[in-house]
Amino acid sequence: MRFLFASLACVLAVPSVAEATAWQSKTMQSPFSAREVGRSLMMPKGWMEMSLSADVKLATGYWTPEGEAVDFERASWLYTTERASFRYGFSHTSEIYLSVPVHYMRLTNEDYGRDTTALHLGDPSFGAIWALYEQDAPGTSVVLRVDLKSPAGNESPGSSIAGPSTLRDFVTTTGSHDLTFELAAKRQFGSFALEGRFGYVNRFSGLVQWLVETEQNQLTGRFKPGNRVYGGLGGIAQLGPVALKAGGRMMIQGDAKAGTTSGGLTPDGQLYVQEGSSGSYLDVDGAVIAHFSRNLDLELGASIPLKGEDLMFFPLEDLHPTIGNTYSATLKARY
Amino acid sequence: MNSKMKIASAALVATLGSFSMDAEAKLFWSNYNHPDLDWYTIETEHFRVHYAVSKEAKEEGNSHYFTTEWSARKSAAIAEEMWQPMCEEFNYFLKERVDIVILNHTDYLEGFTVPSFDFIEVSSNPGGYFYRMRGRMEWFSDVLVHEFAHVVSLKANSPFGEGTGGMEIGGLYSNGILNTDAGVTFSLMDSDPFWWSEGGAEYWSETTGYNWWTAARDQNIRMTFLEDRQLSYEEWVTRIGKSGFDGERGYQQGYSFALYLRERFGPETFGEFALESGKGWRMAWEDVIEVVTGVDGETLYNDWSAYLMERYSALRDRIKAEGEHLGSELLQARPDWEYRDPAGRDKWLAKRKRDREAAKERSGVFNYYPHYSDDGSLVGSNNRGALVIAEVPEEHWYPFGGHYSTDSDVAQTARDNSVAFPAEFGHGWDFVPGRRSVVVTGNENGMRPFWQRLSRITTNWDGYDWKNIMLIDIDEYARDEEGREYTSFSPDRTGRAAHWNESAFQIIPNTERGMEPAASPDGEKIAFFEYTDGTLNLVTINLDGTDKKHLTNFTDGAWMQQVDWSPDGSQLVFTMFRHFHNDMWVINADGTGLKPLTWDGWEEFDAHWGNDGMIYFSADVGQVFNVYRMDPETREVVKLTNVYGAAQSPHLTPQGNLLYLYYTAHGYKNYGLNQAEFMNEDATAHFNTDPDEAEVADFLAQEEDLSRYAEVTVPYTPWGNMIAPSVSPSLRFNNDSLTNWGLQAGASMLLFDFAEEHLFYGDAMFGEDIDLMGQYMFQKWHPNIFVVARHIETKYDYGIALDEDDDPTTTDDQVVLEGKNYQAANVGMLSMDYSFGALALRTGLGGITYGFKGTSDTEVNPYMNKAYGFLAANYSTVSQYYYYHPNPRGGRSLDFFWNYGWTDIVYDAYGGVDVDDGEILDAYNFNSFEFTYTEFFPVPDFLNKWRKKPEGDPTLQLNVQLGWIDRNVHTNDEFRAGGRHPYFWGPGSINPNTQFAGYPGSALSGETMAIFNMAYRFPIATKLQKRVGPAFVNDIYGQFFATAGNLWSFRPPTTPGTYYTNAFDERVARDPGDIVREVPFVDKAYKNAPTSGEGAAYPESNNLTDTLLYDAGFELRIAAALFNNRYWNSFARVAYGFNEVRGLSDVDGDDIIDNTSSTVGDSLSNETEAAGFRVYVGLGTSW
Repeated sequence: MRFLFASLACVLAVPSVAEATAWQSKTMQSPFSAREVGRSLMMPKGWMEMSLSADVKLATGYWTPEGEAVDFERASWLYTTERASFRYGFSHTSEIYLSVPVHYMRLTNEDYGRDTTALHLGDPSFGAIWALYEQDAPGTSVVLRVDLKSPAGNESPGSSIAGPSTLRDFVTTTGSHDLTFELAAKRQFGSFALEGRFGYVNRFSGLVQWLVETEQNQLTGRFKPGNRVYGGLGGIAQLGPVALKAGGRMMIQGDAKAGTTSGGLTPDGQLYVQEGSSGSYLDVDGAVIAHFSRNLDLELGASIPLKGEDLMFFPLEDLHPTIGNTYSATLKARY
Repeated sequence: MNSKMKIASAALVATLGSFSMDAEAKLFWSNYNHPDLDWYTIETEHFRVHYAVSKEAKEEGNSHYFTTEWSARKSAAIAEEMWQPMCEEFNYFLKERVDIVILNHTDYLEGFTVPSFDFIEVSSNPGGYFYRMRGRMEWFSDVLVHEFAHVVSLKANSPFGEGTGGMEIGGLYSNGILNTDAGVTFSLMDSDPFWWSEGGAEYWSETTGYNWWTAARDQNIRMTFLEDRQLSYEEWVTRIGKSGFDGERGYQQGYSFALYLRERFGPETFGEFALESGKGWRMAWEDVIEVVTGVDGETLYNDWSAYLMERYSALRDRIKAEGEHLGSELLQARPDWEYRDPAGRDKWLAKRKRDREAAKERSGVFNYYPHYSDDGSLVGSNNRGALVIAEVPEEHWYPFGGHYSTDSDVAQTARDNSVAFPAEFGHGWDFVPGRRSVVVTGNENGMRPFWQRLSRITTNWDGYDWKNIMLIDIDEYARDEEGREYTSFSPDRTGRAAHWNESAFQIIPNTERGMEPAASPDGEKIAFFEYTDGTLNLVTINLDGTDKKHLTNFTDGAWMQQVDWSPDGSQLVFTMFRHFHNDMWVINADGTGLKPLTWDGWEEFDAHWGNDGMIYFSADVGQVFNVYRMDPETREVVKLTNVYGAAQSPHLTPQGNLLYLYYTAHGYKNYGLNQAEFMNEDATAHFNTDPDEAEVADFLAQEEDLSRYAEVTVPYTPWGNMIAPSVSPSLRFNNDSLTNWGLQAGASMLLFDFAEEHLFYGDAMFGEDIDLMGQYMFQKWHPNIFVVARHIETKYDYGIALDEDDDPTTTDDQVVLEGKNYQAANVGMLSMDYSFGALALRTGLGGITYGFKGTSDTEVNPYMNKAYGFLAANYSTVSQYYYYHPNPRGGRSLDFFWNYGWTDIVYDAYGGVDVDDGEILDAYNFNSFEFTYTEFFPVPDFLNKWRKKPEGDPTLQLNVQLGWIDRNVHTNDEFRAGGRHPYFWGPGSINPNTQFAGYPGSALSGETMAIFNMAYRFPIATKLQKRVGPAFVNDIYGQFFATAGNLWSFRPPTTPGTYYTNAFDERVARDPGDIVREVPFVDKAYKNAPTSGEGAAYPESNNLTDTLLYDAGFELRIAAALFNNRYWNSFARVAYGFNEVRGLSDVDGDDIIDNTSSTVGDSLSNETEAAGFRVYVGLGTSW
């Protein structure tokens, strides 16, 4: 949480700077609704949004590969994500964005006498959003998003032979790139809006530092996470300067593959399916958004996992190997 | 590229990146910082106007005191006045305030805007020649409205959000198997064609009430069309590749086209282009023309051309029917275009159009103020910043009754006794009666000492270089040229520096910021115009700088032009622009009796009081400038010329003929008109020569009250006056290995305050690799202070070949393992720079630390820490312009770099030490010296004899790179060589990028470096001016190049017993004294040369292959622009490396590091790269 406080302090300092020439509002900026319910899914031209967020998840248990929920008995697992994001309305019909996460984690396991903490960069993602259809008052927005996630996060588990007793560090990346295509739509009905999205994630293979070929100590293998499809549906209710959001989302992931690099055009020829590495999850989530002004929002949210599976590889929380609610706070400043 | 090398390269980029910035560090307004100024800001409703005032008063001895208060207040008034009508023009009302910076510490014209910064910058002293091109001189209204038109129109025009500067997209693909590097870069950005943006700014200045189509503009376009010189539909889109009048032609063609569209489609048409463009990005901006008008752009261009041709042809025919009184150009020889027979015509017309144009421009494009001396022996004019004087008797000239080139003695005398004195561009000058001297507009540094002119190393400690009046004696110099002894006005030269008698050049005291001198008939005094705070006043002074008198005392932006004395010295005539009046005035030499000689709507220029007592001047009666003569007593006016170009700057010769400037599409030319051919038509009725005295009195008394701005003036604060931040998103790709592609996204941001005291630049790229950089520049003291910090994280794939038994003949125990490496580096530097003309010095301190993180690591293990101090000197007589030019030619560049380094190897896994060249290296100090010399020899075009048409001038480029490190150092501290692609390294046209292009990039290394490179560069096709899709292609050059040289290192011991093998199977000297430095050019470089024997056994000196390495190749350069405005220079290079080489790491480029029996202790793999070709291609990457 200390990062959240630091982040808040930074962003709250912005309004005092806004008087300076450098941060004045500009004529070229397209209209931007003061209310969440009327906003497009794409950042309007000329608007830059800088946001800082923090997600906190204190896991109470884990999912088995078969999807059964099991409580931790003598372990605790804290997983947080602090994220800085930039969105910019590049043109009337496009937005570009960049998001850089940092993870703080702590795992204690009394059985093994371990108390491990780590702070690492996560995987940044960047992409563009194109408006396929836009309409004002009531707002309708249909967009296509293309996103590339790159493996900048920590790949070193801190041990050549990872396991509960040897764990010294946490991996915060798959070590490979993801390319996402997402179609999203939002329709306003007065003070209410419906929002839905559907996406496909193609996950490329990569030589990854965490996948150790134990016969040749410290040399690594190639890994390809399973491709994904996902979808979500939600609603927004606007109550004056406050918006309420609620919805659910589901993801299905295919099998992962691992092996060594092959020659030729694709390096994946020598990868083999890892049994039990496919699965799915289902979450419901909700949020409250407070509009302090058109230039400043605070969003508080919660996400509750309804279904998950242990997908066997590396403890990244977007795969939900653990059970627990995630609470988030996001501060968004725009000019 | 191995792990260590990769990070070292990145660190180097950080260092080079800082060096690649202009050593002067100023973005816009000056080569020097000015801590002697206080800045203030006038805050109005829509603008902030920033201006400077000297801290130290004139009374306190400050010879460079100035204030800009009136200029700033006037600018504020104009700015607020123009805001509403200009915004209405586009229905685009700015929410944002716009900042205007008024420069007043220089005497040179400047006016530009960066719309997305909300930034306009103009000089308050535009120099003296602006009116001649534009026909007006209300400087602030002209320049500010023009620049503000840019702000509004370009903001409205852009389909992208402001402040992005477009999105940079680029990358580099390297294939080590195919030995090919292919890079591309471009900016996805809005494009506004030159003719529309500049012509539009002129046009919207008119539609908002500040501008008009003057006779000067009309003569530009009239002669452009009548002499078939217009910019074509393809070439008028960009300002790149323009010469002569083409720049101004772009402005006026655009303005004229706007007027045509207004007549045909309505007044909003030109502005609607902006609004249409702003709706969405187009590959070709011109598509908006058809959307708005329903007619495609090229058709409209042709329609407009036909319309103008018809109109101007009619005017020409009318004048010819009236009887043209033109005379002819003062040329020693008959020009080719004045052919007299069919053969001559055929010869002339057989030339390409551009060659015909070049021939016509050869006599000068910007000739101004032709004069004859009173004794009739000397004639001269200011030709583009050089006062060119020749001894030619008047009667010799063809228009004055002489003959072309028939008198060889006269021609020889003219050649011998010709001289080009330095003089400020476009300014008036005069012969001094009674002595062989001239007075010119010079600058305060006067004639610098010979060594400074030769070297171009100059000092300017206070940063000022104001104009001053200079008295120059025309001395005679003894010359001996191939045995012919003679005297000349011009001394011998060494290079470009003449051996002037420096005492012949004297700055006249008390003439700071003076211009346009005219000598009195007795030769004792001069009259000139003195600049203060946006205004000129008439001043007289003795030649020795005494008895200075201000004859006028305007303080409101009055601007004056061309003063001259009456024959008896009692009066002065001049022309003045004030409050949108431009008339000819006369004043008594004691400052009394100021009155206008004309008072009408014509533009009167170039007043000259002839020795016959008549006043000669130029005026635009009927929209065409002609020369008129006025009798100052009777005020009767007679028209002397009748031309369809423009006749200006008249001067009566001692024999009564007329010397004047004639405007052609190929430049202002010195023309002569024999007195017998004067038109002598009474023109009195055209002029109001008897103005109402009360009206004149009111005019002179009129002064705008700007005191209201005092209340809204506050001291300038940098933090409250920053530009709108410019954030340029970037998308980059490159492949770390053949199977691992990396993408990075991020942005760079530029932020500085308007007085440029503080500047920040940041660049953050995220992907699998991370690169964060921040720079800060402090520009408030005379030297610039520069701080840079950078953090880099890199991951990359590699394979490593292992051989269990170290026997390459048994292959079943050999295996290739995959690895992924992670490195992190931190780089910091603090430096200070200052320049002395062509010599720039920089010194500073820096540090680098980097390390690795493996699978079993929880944090980065530091590998090496390094600190250094450095001193760098760069001497270059090659203009920065050549950075983008395909053919740098003439001049030289020398770089010297001394680095004192302290390196500490701290890697735990190696026990805190590492081995290189057989020596255990822990912490050590070293000196590194590097010297680079590049000469650009202009050479004749040897291909000309085979060409039908000459294409341009070739260059022989010689480059020498020498380096010396005073001890054995770790690989990362050694020099490197090998081919490189400019994508990540920046263009290499100044320091050639062709050395050892035939070898793998950075593969060659050593502590001693000697590389010699030579290139012959020649034009293939120049001035193409062709559009290819969104690209504008201008020049194509080819070059052959070759390199010889090597890098030598320290050699590990070879005698058994003098070394041992460590745990990493590396050979280590028992006594470091047994490690021997290789002798350059004598020893074979063991690190870079493979063995001649089988396998890759330890290279004993007797089985190494080569002492020197060689390569040769060919390169194609294409100079182009993309989306009209952005340079998009591209190249293709093929190089052949003649030698098989060893080297660092993955030398053969297969992404597998072969260390199967690397037991030398030299950080090398066992790989070699066979002799062969390497290919480099770059689209938009420069070369």
